[in-house]
Amino acid sequence: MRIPLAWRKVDLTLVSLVLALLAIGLVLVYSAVHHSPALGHLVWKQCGLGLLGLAALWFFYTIDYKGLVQLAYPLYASLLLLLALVLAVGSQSRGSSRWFDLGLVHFQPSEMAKLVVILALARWLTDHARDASKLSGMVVPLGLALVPMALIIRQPDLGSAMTLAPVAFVMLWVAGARLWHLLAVIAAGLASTPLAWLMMKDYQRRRLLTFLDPEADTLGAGYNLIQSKIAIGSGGLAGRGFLQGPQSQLKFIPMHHNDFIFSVLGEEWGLLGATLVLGLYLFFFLRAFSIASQARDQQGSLLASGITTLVATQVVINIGMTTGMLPVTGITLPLLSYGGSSVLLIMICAGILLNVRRDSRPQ
Amino acid sequence: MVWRSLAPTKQDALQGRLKLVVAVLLCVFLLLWGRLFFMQVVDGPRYRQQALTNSLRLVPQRAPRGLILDRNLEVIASNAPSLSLGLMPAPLLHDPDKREEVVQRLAGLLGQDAEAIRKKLALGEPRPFAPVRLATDVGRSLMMALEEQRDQLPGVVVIEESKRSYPRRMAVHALGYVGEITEGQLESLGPKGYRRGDLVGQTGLEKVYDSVLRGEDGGYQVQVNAAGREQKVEGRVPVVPGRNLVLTLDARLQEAAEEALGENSGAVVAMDPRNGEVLALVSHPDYDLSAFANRILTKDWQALAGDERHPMSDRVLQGLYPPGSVFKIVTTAAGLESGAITPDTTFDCMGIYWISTWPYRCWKEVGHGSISLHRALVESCDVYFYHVGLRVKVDQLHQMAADFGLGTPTGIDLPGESSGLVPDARWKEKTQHMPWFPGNTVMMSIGQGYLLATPLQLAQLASAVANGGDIYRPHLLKRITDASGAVLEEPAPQVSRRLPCSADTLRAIRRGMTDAVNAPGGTGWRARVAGVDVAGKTGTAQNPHGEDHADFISYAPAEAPRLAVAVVVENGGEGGLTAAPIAKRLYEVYFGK
Repeated sequence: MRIPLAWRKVDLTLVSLVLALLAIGLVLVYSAVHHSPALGHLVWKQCGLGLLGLAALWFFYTIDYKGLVQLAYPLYASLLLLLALVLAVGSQSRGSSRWFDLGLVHFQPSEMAKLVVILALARWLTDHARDASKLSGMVVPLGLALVPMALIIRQPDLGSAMTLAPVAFVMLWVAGARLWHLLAVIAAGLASTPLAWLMMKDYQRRRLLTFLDPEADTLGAGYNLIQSKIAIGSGGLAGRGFLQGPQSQLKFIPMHHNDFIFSVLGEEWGLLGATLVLGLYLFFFLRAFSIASQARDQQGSLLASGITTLVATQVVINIGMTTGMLPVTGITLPLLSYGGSSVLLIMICAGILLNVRRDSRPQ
Repeated sequence: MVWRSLAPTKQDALQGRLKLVVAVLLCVFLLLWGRLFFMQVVDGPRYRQQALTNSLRLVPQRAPRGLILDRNLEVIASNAPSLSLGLMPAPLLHDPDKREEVVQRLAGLLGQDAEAIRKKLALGEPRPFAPVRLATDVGRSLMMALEEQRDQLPGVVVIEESKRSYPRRMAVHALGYVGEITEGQLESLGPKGYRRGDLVGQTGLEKVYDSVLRGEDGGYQVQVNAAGREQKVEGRVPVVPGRNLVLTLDARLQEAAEEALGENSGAVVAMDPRNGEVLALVSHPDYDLSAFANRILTKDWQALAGDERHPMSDRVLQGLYPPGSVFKIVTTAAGLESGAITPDTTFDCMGIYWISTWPYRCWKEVGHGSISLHRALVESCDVYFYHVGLRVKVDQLHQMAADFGLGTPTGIDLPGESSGLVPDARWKEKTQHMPWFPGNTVMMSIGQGYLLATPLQLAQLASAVANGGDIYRPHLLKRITDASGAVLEEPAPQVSRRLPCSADTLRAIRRGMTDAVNAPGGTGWRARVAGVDVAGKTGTAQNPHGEDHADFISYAPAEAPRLAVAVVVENGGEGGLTAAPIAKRLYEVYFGK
C-alpha cells in the first residue's frame, strides 16, 4: 500500500507534540468547567475547535508557504483595516473591544495580526536582505510591527501587542541584524516606557501595579493572581490529582479555563505535570527552531523562527503571569487554553511549520 | 517572485544565530521551571495551607437566646424565627456593572437608598463571604419578590435568625430590650468574645444577664466556591443555646399590678418580705418591646425619647419621689430608738404648728387634739411627727433613714438604679449654701422637703418592717436553668443590712400600720381585704409641678407577712385614695380573695 507523498513528509514528531498538548488541554479544560452548567459544554466546543484546527493545520501544510508570503502585503493591508474596524464596532468585553462576533467563534483580529505581521516581516526581510545588517534597514520592519501593535494596544490588548515585540526582534536577528543594533532598539523601547504609562488606561495601570504588589488588593485586582499562585503552589510535587484541586474545582480562579488554565495544571498535576508540559513545549520549540535552521530558503527560516518565537513568547508570558513573575495580561496558553481564535492560530502556525519542514533540505 | 536559496555559509550563520535564540529560550524555560519548583516544592506547604483556609469558611450560626420565665415557668420572653436579607460581596467583587445592577434592584425592592446599600457592601468587602445584613425581619411578600428575581441577584442570601418575642406585654422595663452591639460596647465587650453584628441586651435583665442568655454561637465549615455557593459541609461547631432565666416574678400578680395601675403614671413593686424576691414591678407608661425586637425605626425611637411622660425610664428604680407620710415610719423608729419618745408619748395637734413665725400645718385643719403615737400613725397626724422630728434632730433622722436603706441603691439585679436622697445639714450646706433650719427637720420628719426615694426603696423598707428588721436585697433572678430545665445556679437571698431597731419599736410601727388599714379612722382603709389583714402606711408627696403624688406601702398578712407592696401614683392626690386600692387589688389576687 502506498502512502501519499503529502502524508509521508509530515513531521510526525511535531504533530505528536501538538496532539499531546491539545489532549492535555482538553483534560485541563474539562477539569476546569465540568461542574459548571454554564461552561460544561465548552469541553465539546474545544474538541470541535481542535478538529477544526487540524483541518486548518492540514490546509496550511498543503499550500505553498511561498505563496502565503507573496500575499503578505495585501493581508497586512486588510489586517490594518480590520483592526481599525474592531476598534469602531467590536463587541465590548471587560472594557475592551477585541472581537467580532461571528456566531460560532469570536473572531479576534489581534490573533490574526500576529500571523500576518510575521508574514509581512518575512516578505520584507527577504526582499531587503542586503539592508539587514544596517541600522536604517530596521526602520521599515520595526514600523511593520509597530503600527498593528499600536492599534492593538488601543483595543486595549497590551498583552497581545507585546508578544509581537520578541517576534520582530528574533526575525530581525535571524535575517542578519547586528546584535548591538537590536540592543540599542530595545534600550530605546525601554526608555520610552514612561510614555507608555501615560498612554495606558486605568485598568492597565492597575494590573501593572497589581503585579508589583498583589497582596495590596487581595480581593480586588490582585485576586486572580493570588488565587492562581495559591492553586499552583498548593499542587506540590505530584499535584492534587485529576478533578481534585479545590482551587480549580471551587472556581476561585476566574477565567481558569482559558487565561489561567496553567493554574489548573499546577494544582491538579503538580510540578511533575508542569514539568511534563514545559518539556513538551520545549521539545516543540527545539524541533521548530531546527525546522527554521534547515529551511530551504530564507523565507522559510524567517517564517519558522517567527512563528516559533510567537508561540514561545505566549507560553512564557502566560506561565510567567500565572506564577506571578509577569503582569497579568490576557494571553492564552497555546493549545492548552480554551479559546477559538487561539487554538486556530496555533494550529495554523503548526501547519506552516510542517509546511516549511516539508520543503526543507534533506539532512 | 523572489526565491533565494541559502548558501552554505549563510546556512552556518543562520544556525549560529538560532543557537543563540534557543539558548535564550532554554534560559527562560529554566527560570520558569525554577519558579515552579520554588512555588510547588519549597513553598508548597505554605500555599497548601492558604488553599485550605481559602475554600473553607466558617458559617456562623447564632445561638438562640435563653428564655425568660416567671417563677411558675410561664414564658415572658422567647424567640421567634425571623428572616433577614443579606448580600454577600464575593460574587460581585469583580463585576462592577453587575454589582451596581444588584444594588439598584435591591434599593427598589427594599425601599432603601442605593448609596446606603453601596456603603454597607463596601464595609463588608474585606470579608467577602460574610453576608452583609441589609434588612431584618423581612416579610413574606418581599421574600416572594426576591425569589422571583433570584437569578438576577447573585450574592443575595436569606439569613434565618431569631428575634425576641413576647407572648404577653409585661414588665417591659425590667426585661429590657435587645439590640445590635454598638461601637462603644464592641470596644468593652470585644475581649469577651462579642463580635460586630451580635445582639446584646441593652437595658434591663437582658443587659444584666446577657452573658447568661446569649449562649455560644456555633457554625459549620463549608467549602465554598468563588460564587459563594456552599459545596460541602466540613465540620460543625455546635451552637450552645443561651441559658434560661427563671425570675422571681409572678406573671399573674404582674398582670394584676399592671391592670390595677392602669393608665396612671407611676410604679408598683411587690416583694416577698421573707427573701427579697420581687414578684411584680410595674412602671407606667411603658413601651412596646416588640418594636425593639429587631431594629427600631428611627421615628419610633424619637417618639419614645421625646415623650413627655418618659415611657423609657423605669420608675421602679429611677423614679424619685418624696416619700411623704410613709416616712413617718422612719421618724417613729428614730424617735423610739433614740428615746426621744416612748410608745405612750402624746402630743397636742391643733392643726397647725408654729416655729417662731412660720406655720406648719397638719393635713387635718381642725387638728387631732391630744394624740398618741399609735393614733398618729393610724391617722397620719403631721404635727405629732413635727414634734418627734424636732426632738430627735436631723442627724438621727438621717441615720435612721439610711439604716432603712434610703439614699443608697438597693442593689437589685437591674441596671441604672437611682440612690434617692436623704438630706442632712452637711448636704444642704454643700449644695444649697444655706444652713439647716428647724423647718427642714419638720418637713423631713413627714417625708417632704428634700427627701427622695424610689418605689423600690419604699418596697424594701416595707419588707424590712414586715419581716422584723432584715433588709433583703431585692432581686429578680430566681434561678438559671439550661434548655432542659436543669438548675444551674440558684442564688441565695441576701440580707444587705439589719434595722437597728428593737422588737418593741418594730411592734409599735407594725401595730400602727395594721390599724391604719383596719381600724376606724385609718387612712389606708381602702386597702382592706376581707380575710387577710393588710398593714400599710399612706403617703402624699407634695409635688411642686402639679397635683400631689400618692403613695402607699404595705404588707400582708399582718402577723406573718408574705407579700409587701409599694405603690406610687404620680399626681394621684392622696395616697389613701388612689394608691391604697391598687395595693388592695394585688393582695386580692395574691391571696386568692
